[in-house]
Amino acid sequence: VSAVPGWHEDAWGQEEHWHAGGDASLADLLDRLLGSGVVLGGDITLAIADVDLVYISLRALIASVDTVLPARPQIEDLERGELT
Amino acid sequence: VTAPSASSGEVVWYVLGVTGKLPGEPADGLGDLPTLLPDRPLEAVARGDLRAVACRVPADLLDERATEDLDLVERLARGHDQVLRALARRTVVVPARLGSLYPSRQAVAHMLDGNRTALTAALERLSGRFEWGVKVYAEPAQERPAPRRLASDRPSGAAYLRRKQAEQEQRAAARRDSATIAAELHRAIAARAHAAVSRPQQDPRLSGRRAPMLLNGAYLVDRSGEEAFTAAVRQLAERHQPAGLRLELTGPWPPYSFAGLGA
Repeated sequence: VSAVPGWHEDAWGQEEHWHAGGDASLADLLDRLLGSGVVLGGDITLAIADVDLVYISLRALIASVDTVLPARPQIEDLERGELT
Repeated sequence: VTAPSASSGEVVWYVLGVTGKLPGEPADGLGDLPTLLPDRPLEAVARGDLRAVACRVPADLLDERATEDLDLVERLARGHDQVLRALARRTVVVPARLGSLYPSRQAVAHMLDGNRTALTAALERLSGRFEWGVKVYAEPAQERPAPRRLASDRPSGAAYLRRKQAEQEQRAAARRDSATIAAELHRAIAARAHAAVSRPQQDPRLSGRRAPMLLNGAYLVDRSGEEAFTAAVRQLAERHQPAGLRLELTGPWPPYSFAGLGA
């Protein structure tokens, strides 16, 4: 497993192959718990049930708390790397 | 999770998921599971063969403030997930969305009645299957590990050819459009799954990752095929690692991405 950098295999070796889930990223969780795949929703329409609103609010929150993130590396960086 | 103080004392029903008959009924065993909120035990709302697993929560749990409180959203998401994971180990479950509220027990029962056919079909479809996630990142070139050299410095024709071949593959892969690579990988992984979806890429501010995400896929996999599936993904990870692609596997998850009730 360690032969491949970044390889995460967090399920095996745990009871019945399940990991506790505490290490799941918030982004992974929100993708799933608010994503379009989960259509069983409630009778009551709440702000949190609106995935877009949640994401927008969280982004605003993160942006206000976080300092400026370094620019995202672009795909071109990979190609430039090939030339060196 | 600390329940916000319910000023009105009004209570609504938070549905976490829907199952068939629970193992061990009439004792439902839900008391052994983790809870969404402290002192809010899980309850089963039964209609025919369907069970909604729910708990009573303060009516003001998820008002507008919730979306501005990252901490509350995260604690609820983790609590919701924890219950679903525990439940999915016991029985087939159709997960409900985060924050699915109903005004009364009767309303929950009504939801079961109204969706009986679709829920029964979903339970059948999800039986014996869990979700796995595969994310693919393009590693920034400067952080990529240097090509591996043989331990011995002795020049060897085979080693030279291997290195040249690896470099060639690296260049070829880097030239290809990232969308093409993502589509190819998604197709290759989906071929090993019962169903597959490709989600939008995660915002780096939420994922905390700088590397561009090329693929954010979810795959519904038979339990009997999990070993073959993870082995196949690992093989893909190894094959694409020299080209600067990083594959990350998560799972098994409750089948969140495949809980659609559509026909």
